[in-house]
Amino acid sequence: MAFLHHNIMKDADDAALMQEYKRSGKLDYLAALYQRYMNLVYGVCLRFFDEEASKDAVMQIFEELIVKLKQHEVQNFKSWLHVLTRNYCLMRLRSLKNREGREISLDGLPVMENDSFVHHENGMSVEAHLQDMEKCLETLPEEQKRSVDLFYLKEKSYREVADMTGYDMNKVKSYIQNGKRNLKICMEQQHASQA
Amino acid sequence: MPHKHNDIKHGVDPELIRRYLAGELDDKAMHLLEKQALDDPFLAEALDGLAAYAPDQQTNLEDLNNRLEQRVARKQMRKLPVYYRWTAAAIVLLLAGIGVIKMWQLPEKHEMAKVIVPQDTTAPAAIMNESGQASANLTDKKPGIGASDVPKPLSATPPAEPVMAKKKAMLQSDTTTQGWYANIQGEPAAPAKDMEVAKEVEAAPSVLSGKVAGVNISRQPTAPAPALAPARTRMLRGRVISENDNSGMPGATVAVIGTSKGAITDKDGNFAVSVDSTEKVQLSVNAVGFMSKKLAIGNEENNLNIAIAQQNNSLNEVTVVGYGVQKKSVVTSAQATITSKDIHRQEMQEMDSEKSRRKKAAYQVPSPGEGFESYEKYIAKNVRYPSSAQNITGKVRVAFTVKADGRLENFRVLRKLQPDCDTEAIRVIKEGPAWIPASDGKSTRVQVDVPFAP
Repeated sequence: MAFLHHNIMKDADDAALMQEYKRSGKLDYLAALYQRYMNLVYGVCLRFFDEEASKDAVMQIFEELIVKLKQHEVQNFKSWLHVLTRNYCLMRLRSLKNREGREISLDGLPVMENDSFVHHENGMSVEAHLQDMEKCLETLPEEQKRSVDLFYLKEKSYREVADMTGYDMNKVKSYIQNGKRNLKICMEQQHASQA
Repeated sequence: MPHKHNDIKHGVDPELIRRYLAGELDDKAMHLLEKQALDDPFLAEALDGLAAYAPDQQTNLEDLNNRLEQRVARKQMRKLPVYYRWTAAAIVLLLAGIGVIKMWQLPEKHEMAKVIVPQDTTAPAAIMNESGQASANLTDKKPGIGASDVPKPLSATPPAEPVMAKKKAMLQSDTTTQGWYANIQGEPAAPAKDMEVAKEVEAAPSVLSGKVAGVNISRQPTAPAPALAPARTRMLRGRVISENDNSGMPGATVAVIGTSKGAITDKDGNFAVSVDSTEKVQLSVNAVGFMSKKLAIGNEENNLNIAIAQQNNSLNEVTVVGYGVQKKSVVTSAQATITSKDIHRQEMQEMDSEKSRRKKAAYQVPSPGEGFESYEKYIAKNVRYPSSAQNITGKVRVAFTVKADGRLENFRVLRKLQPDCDTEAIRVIKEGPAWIPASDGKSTRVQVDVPFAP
């Protein structure tokens, strides 16, 4: 029986584990689920706090999870957990700031690209349509065009792209992100005009 | 492509991330992870966060796993309610049992307690009992002397006998013989004899006039019951002063740490608070705009002078931060300083009714006809430096009323510089350009600074 359980925990997908937790209320299921993403949660927390505080935050988020998962109908656990993590960190940051009265810069945090959550699983991928989007690619600014081309079509890593173009590593990242978004917009416009 | 990632059930392997951050992956693998991160903001953000720290987070992650397991285990412990209930029931029974026994014993204890008090103070009579003979003798000649100190025991046994010195029983009563207290001291080797003595004392009703109650057998010298010692307090007085100018700080709070006691200083900074006189106490002094101060006060010290330091920038600017967007609004002081440093206006009316509050939204203070900038220029150009001023530099602040029809009256100098300068300042304003009245059509007080320089 224990072995069976173990198997379920290891192989079941997120939704099944969520169901099982909601049905039984057993923390084992939730813990197994949480463990899959704990390193990501921890990584996100590291953006806001130091290592020790991040570990505490990870445990606190688990406590929140125990309660909130029972209350909410969650479709995509991973995305939901990401939002939960961010929200927790921001709330925590605010309460810390209130207490200490000092300013913590939120400038460095990228604005959430919410659309990626929505489009995340509908299969409408940028790459699948890259062939159709060669035209769109031409409309991009030079840096974005080169970065996107190298990254998506030549399948180079960020490091390679940075080496080949001479751009800064962080710039490369944002070129690719923005290029991808611009391409998507361009693509959707094309679709609209075709339809 | 995103489908592929969604099918990965187990998030992203920490080891893969570690190798990526440490630069151990080849470019192909790096590219794959980076592409995955582009489709997965969760992963992207985690990578960002991890990148700022050492790549090897193995120990931290293991620690987290352990903590998670402990957390889950804790929950399971709670799933044994049967044992808990039994334990709880047993504890309740036990407590109830102890309670009943205590209740029975309680009256006797009271009796004893009554007698212990005079033992220290009012020199009760002592009854000596020696060498296990249990001949209780009453003496009231030697007040306040304990059994061991009695030089001439009144018993028939010679005092030099070694057994005698070891075996002593002291029986004391207060003068009214309300009750009896027997304290029998002895060597550890003879507890049985102690008991005997106690019994003997009990069996001596003729001497003790039938009031034997609460015979106490003790191996320690009698000590006054701590609960009966009166709580000793004293008034600690002092003065809280500002470190800058040694002036008294009114309204500062002085709290005794660890108690609920405290005080607030009066208008001269004086305070008085009752504290335990037997021990050191910790005080915490706080005042708005000053650094809080903690200090230990010995039980001999009194009439303290506590200096506290001014706190710089104790009021931070108020910053409003939204998710991802940052906005900063600096709140200015309560008196609205509207334009340049030289012109202050002060509004004198009360804005209490809802109506006037609504008006305030679009409220415009009185202003000079051509605006403040040209008004400043006018003043600078037209002020005549009085010859009597003897090279004084400074400004004169003039307050006046702008009437509903724009007339100016009730001139008063708020900040004086020199008599001739003051009159000159009023003249310049009086003869100056007309003012536009306040937008609510009421007369309003205004302040203007007129600079003077030779």
